[in-house]
Amino acid sequence: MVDSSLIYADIIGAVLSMGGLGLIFSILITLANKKLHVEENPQIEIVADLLPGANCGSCGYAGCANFAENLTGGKTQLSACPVCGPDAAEKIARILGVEVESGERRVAIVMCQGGDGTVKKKADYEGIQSCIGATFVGGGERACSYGCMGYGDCVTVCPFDAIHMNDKGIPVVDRAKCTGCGNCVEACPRNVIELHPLSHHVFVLCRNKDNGKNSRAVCSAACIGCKICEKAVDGIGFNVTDNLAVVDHEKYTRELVLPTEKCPTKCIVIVGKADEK
Amino acid sequence: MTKSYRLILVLTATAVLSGLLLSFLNLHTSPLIEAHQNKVLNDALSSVLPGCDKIEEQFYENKQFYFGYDAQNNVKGIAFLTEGNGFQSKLRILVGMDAGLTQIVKIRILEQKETPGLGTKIETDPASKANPEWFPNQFDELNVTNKITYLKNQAPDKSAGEIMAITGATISSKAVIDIINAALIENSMILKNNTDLKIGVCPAIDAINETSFGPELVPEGAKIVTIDNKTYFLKKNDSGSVTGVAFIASGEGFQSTIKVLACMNPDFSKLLSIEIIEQDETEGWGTRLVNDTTNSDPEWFLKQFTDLYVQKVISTVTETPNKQNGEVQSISGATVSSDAIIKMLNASIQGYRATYLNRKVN
Amino acid sequence: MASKTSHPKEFLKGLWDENPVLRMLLGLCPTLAVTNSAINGFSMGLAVIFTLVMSSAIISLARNIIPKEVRIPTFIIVIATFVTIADKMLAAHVPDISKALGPFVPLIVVNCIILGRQEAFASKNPVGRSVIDALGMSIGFTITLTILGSIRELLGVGTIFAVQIMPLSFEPWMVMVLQPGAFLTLGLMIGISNWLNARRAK
Repeated sequence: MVDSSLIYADIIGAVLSMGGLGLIFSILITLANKKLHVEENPQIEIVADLLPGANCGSCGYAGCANFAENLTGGKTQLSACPVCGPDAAEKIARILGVEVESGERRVAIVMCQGGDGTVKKKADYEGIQSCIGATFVGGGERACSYGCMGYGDCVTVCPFDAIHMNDKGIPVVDRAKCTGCGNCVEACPRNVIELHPLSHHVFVLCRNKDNGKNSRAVCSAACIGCKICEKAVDGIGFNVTDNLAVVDHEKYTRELVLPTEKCPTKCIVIVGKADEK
Repeated sequence: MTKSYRLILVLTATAVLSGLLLSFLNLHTSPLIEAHQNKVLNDALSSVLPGCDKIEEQFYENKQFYFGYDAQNNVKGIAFLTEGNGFQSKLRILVGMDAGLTQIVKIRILEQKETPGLGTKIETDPASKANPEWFPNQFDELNVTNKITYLKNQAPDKSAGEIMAITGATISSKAVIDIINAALIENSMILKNNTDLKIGVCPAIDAINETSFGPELVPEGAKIVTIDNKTYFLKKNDSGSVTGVAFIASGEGFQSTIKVLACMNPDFSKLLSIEIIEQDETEGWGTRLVNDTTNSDPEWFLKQFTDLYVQKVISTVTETPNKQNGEVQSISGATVSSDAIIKMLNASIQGYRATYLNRKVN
Repeated sequence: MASKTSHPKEFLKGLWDENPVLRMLLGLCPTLAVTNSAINGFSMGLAVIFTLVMSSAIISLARNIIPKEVRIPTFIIVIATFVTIADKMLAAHVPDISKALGPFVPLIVVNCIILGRQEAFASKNPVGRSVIDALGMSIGFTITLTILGSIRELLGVGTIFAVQIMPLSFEPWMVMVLQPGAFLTLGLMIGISNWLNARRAK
């Protein structure tokens, strides 16, 4: 049998050495903490806590804390984090949304209705099924050079599965799932997608700045710049510039007359419901 | 409590608890681990020293030996552990031999992490269903009076110390042989010097080759004899007469032990050549003994000893040395190393000459 | 507002959706190194289960006591303690397996999966959840490693868990038990799991 005094010596040795190390290092950390303390935006910590904490570096920043710092500072997008689950992403997007706007979630709006059957085809495109790819070779099949090309780059980059192509080749946003991360906005080479808070509910879904004759020639749902909408609201909320009507969301409210019915090409659309959250 | 104190307390407490827990764990596991290691070693020892009533450990010159005794307390076998580098891992081998260190009884590979399916065959070859341990078994009753060598794809001759290498794992096979060869040489010397066991012949050393004895002599393997505890390597010609005698001299150099193989003619009147087989002198200075880059002939120092007459002692001169008088020049900047060589040669030539010339001729 | 994940979901996510090896690509070093046979992969997995579950339990219990400045040293001490326990128990009770696993059991201390789960989960969740999460992750790890080890052993030697499966005439693909085989097999497994996931999403 092992001599019991040897056993005690072993145990005491282990306890003292481990305890000693623990003590020394904890004192070091305490001192370092005092000397190196940095005032930090409290929001950074809240956001950092919500992040996955895997410190994997995929976002391109040195760990989740660093990412949180840059995120709250507006230097990066939440979509840079591939590990972030939809629950956390929603919470963080809201926290960040608080900073940017008055507490409302933003969603993506696709400002185009020129899908198959509505827009004219100018060519047969056989190439990379990507919008940015098609841009290099003449812009794909659709005759309108301002509108959606339909190859789905926006769908590919959405981390939240919130945008999908419909059967006419126009992307449709699921307003419940969309977090307003902005990936699709960036991905669209024609800047057809915009982010709007839920309270904005009427949009002119067209980007075509050509005159009426030319825009009508390429798409049956194009804005022809006829100004009927502007006249219907006496210029409050709808303005036509460069042959394209644009909604001024500050001025236009639900109580005003809707130009939707009056628009000859039906390019003005009500999006979303009044009680949406 | 304040944050700082809590910080210190939590970390220290965690460390202390960890230390406690692990030391209790150790109480439980250490004996088991040690018992297992002992069992492995004992199993291996009884297989490499078969039929021994008792096995005892002994240390000589800090090396561990295991002696197997029979019922009459005579040494029946000697075993030792040896280590070295394999192809990609450290190999640890237990070698069991007869009492005279002339024949390997058995080897056991204790540790290896070679390539699975290739190098691992040095321990066991599952592909060879009938005889998975065919490689280590080749060492059973292997004659090692000369170096162990390997053949590829040929039937080896055990009495000549040959074994067959593993196809596709030549480097691992060669490593095993090199490690055992080196250990045999070293351990034979140690046992010879420290015990009065009749240790038989050492395996031939790499250093012995025909050039050590001059090109006019017929190249043949040297025969190793021991006279009065001194080891000589004899070179014989076809008719059996001795044409050269060599021995190993050693001494302290500037910062390391230097070992020299000195080859002489049979009446010890002339040094035929010397070869430094071991040295670790200062790089660039003492190493000029073997490679003097400042001279057009880098091996000039050792060549001085070729055909050097030594009826008188070897001495150093500063001008052109006269070989008939046993004169040589030392290396500037490495006088200590050069002088050490000369001193050890003088001492050993005297001793070895006396013993050899006074031997009882049978 | 998203609902809190149910207990079964918490466990199952470690098996597939958030499988540490195939989806999160964590802990690849031991994965590649010890899967040269099925039993080795499986044993490593068991060691990781023990370490992850025990560490998660302790750290979750102590999560409100540990100040955040010493989070990392404390986690590491806890993890290292359990790894030492696992290593010594293996060496004491199954020395052959311990020898086969070699230096990779001590390396569990710095296996990203363990520290990652403590940081991401155990330090922020109650014990029950943390243990379930740990079980899911480590069992997912074990299953993956066992499958990987079995494939490599089957093609590289002809056996699984040392039972001859391939016919004796089968010429084993030596590369499978070597390092390139590990990378190839793991890469293919990750590719297949990604493909399966993409199909499910459609």
